[in-house]
Amino acid sequence: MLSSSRRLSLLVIALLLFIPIGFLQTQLIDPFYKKNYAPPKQKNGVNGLSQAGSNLPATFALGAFTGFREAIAGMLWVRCDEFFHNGDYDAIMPLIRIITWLDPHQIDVYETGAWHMDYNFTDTQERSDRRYIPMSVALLKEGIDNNEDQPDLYSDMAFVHYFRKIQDFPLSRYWFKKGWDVVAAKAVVDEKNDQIGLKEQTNFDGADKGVMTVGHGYAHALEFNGQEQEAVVQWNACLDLHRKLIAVKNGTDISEVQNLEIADKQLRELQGRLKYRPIDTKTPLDMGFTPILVRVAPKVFVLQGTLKAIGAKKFVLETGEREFGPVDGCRIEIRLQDESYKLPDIGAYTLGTAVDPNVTIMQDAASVRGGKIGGDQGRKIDMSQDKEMYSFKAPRYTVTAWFTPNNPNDAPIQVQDRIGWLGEGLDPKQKNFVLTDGKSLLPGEVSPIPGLRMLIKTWTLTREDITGAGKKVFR
Amino acid sequence: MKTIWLIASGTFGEAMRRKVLLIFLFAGLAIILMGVAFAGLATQARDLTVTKSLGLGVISLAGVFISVILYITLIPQEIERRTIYSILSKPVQRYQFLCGKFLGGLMTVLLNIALMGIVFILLVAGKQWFQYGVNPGPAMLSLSKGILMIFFQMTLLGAVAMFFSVFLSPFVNFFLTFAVWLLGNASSLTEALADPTSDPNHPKSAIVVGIFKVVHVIIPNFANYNIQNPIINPHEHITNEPIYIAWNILYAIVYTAILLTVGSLIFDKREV
Amino acid sequence: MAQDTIIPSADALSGNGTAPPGFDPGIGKAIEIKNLVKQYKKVTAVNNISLDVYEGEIFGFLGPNGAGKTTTIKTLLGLIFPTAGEVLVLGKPAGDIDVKEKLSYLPESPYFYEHMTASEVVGFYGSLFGLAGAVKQKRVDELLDLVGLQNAGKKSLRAFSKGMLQRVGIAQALINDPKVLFFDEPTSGLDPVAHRDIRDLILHLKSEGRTIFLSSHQLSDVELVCDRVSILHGGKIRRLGHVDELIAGGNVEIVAEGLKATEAQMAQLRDLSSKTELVGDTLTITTAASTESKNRVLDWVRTAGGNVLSMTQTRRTLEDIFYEVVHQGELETGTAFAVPSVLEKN
Repeated sequence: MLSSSRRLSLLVIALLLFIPIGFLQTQLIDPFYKKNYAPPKQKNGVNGLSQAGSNLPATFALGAFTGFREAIAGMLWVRCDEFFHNGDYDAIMPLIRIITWLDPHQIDVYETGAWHMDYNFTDTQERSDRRYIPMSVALLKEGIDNNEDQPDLYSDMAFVHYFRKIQDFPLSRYWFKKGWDVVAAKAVVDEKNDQIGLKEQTNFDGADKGVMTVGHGYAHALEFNGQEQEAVVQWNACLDLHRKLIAVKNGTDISEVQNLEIADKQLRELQGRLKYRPIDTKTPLDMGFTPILVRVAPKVFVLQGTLKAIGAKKFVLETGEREFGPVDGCRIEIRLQDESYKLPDIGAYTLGTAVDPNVTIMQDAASVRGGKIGGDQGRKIDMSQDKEMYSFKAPRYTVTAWFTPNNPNDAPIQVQDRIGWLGEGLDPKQKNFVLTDGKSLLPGEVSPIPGLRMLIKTWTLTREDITGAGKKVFR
Repeated sequence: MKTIWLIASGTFGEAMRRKVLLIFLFAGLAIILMGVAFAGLATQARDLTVTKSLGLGVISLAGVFISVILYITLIPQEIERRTIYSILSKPVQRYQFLCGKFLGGLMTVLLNIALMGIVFILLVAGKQWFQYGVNPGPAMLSLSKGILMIFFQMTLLGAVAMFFSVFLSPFVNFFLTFAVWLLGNASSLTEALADPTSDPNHPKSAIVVGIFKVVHVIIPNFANYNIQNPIINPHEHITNEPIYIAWNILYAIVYTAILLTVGSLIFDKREV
Repeated sequence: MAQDTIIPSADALSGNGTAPPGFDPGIGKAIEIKNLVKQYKKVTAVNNISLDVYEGEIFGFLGPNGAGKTTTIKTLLGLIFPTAGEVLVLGKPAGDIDVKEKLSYLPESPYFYEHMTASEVVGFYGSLFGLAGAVKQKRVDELLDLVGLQNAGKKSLRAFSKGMLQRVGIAQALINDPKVLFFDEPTSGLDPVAHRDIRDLILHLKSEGRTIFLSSHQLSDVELVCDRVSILHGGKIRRLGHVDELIAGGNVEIVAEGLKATEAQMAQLRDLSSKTELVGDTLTITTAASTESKNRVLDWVRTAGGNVLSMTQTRRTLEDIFYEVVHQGELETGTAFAVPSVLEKN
């Protein structure tokens, strides 16, 4: 046995070792762990994992605290995959919530989850349930907050979400810009590393993925917002980065060369259009936009009417040789929603988040053939089959049919060649013409674009107008 | 030191024959094999995410069971079988015996984790190389980092179990060590409790903050060693990760030294 | 010297405190136990015992299970610690690392790491003493030879019988050429041949000048090999002395007839004898074998007018004494056996 004085001194030494332990723990390890490994804090300041933990079954919570976060997230994600294939979409919603809490860095969960909310809850005619859009926005925002340096999520937010789904081009441009800033900043760091000889860290990792997605995307988004000159600058920036990447990869990556060629072609076309469109849009064009809404049965409508589109039937950019005439390919958007509805910002996507069963939103589009909206038959919109999606609880509804010149889905490029990026070629005296004047006139909460001209027709219907029997025409 | 090494090697030889440990080793290897063989996932990224996270999780769980079950019995078993009498009646100090036992246990844990780790890394590398045609080098390196951290987590956990085994029965020790492990994994919670600004709506008194600070420092922190996330999501880049790993290795060594010192002091007075 | 009382007198024990016959008076003490008390929560396992073991003797430490034997040995080895009193081995406190170099311990039914061979186990313990290389291997081979395991050295211990394990135990106990050996039940559970081998080995070890502290309840072994013994019961020393002294003496049985004793005479007899038994006309009187007590009883028979039919000396074995102690110990409350103060001077 040791003497008591020896014991005491050893005990004191052992306890004094808690000083370096405390220092290591609180000064060095904790901040690093929190920054790089810990589940991120939610916006309301509560630790994300503990919040998730309080909602999780005990086994998950246990696993979550013991280094199995990612394993559990991975396994749940496999399970989600099965639900996708079975079409059991409702089961996926809470799982996605849990998975991204457990592992906030699995990018494809945000991507797939948001895509699923945007597109996969549909009615019998494959129209998506737009009540899920606020959740999709919240999930993607969370994903970006947790993975600020991942261009993929910005691209998803900007393109799949705001451009394709919500058709809010200013917001699409906003997210592309943020993504591009990340890529550009990374490229600057990589370049510096290259200059000081850190070859191994100079793979432009991230930049090579990002230049195609957010780089090109940002250029397009600028164009769709009527900022053609800025788009030219952006295309040049993309070309610059493509060239750097080709140099770094010593020409071993063929796809990089192809990417450069794409950007180069886009820039040349844009410059060509910048040259000819100011000329071709000079003569005002009356498109004769006359949509008619016909109720054919309770909750069943047909959108018909006319839109006379003129576009470039032939356009050789190099020579300027072009020929205009009536063209197909335009599209009319239609939206029906509760009169007071605005796209809500739900802040955060939680386990309790659910759609409001009393809200009715329907959005559809009709292609224009031979100057007729929806062709000879019109576009039939049947809302009588899906009572959950179309509950029609509100007393009054706003129905909007519109044509947006800057939306390439509505106005194909050859039509834009005649009416311009923002509808400069439209005759302001025609029926249903509106100069938006920096105000948003589209339903929901779509950001305004200064100088945008549109063709819009709005009806206000009562519930009786919608659910009533027999044919009724709304002009 | 020679004495410690002798006792360690005797312990290692004996521990490697423990059937219960072999069960966890083979169960771990079987799950790893199944996880790697698991096909039918949509994309390469998802497949590897699941494979890597499952494999690291299984190695760490098997490691926890192996080290806890091993360390809670190392000392009590010596007493029960009376081998301790013939050893301690030789010129062996009690602390040498304790440290030797710890080291022998650690060699066993290291071998078990290394076996699972090597099999796992090779399988993932094979999958990347043959199935997806991806250079497996970076993944092999990052998985090795994860397994290294699992090993040091088990070092610390083993030291906790061995410390308790000096004065507790294996049964009580099993639950206590597990409780400490869970608590040490929830270090973000104790840290939040010790943070006066963590919840602006409910300000905490200085005493409460102080108590939780002490608790946060005293409880061995196991969550630090869970660095799987960037390994599983390779797009996550962490600067200065080697320094962080070095801090945690240092933490494990210093904390183990505390536990072994205090454990030796208690064991020195313990009647066997 | 010869004592025949059941309760040892102070004289008897003080006599045994000296060196055994044939030893120099100046010879060193291998083990000194002074007023050792070991108290567990409610049980006093060892209650104030004191004894010395001299260098070169085989000391038998006897007692039934639970008497406190193993507790005492563990204290001597430093495995447990005294509640009170002092324990010295080779003049230093028990558990001293230098002392451990010179002692060895063979636990009862020893267990060794089964993954090793006999040679490896003995070598393992040798390494703990700093032995290495060829020196160690030579010593290991010698010892395995000595304990009769020369052909089993390469076998794994898993395949060993209890007797073989015991031999391994002895071999490991001898690896450091110890001065003092603690053997705890070295022959328990062994077949007669192994039993005899080990007994012979113990005598051999004594012939080499080693001190052996032998705890056992194999009384025949103890009687054959030990120089001195102590008998423990209930945590106290009940007997301590040279084997010859303890078994010497005994009683005489005097059988008489035709007695016409008065009540007063019978009362007188009860003081003179340890036992009387009347069968018909014949009275059997048991008394100590000393001349004085024999004469007193014979005088009494004559006074009472009886004839002595026979007088028989009963020689005792260690077993008799052991049972006597155990039996007496069970009857006694324990206070009667308080160790005489004389002993404490040792």
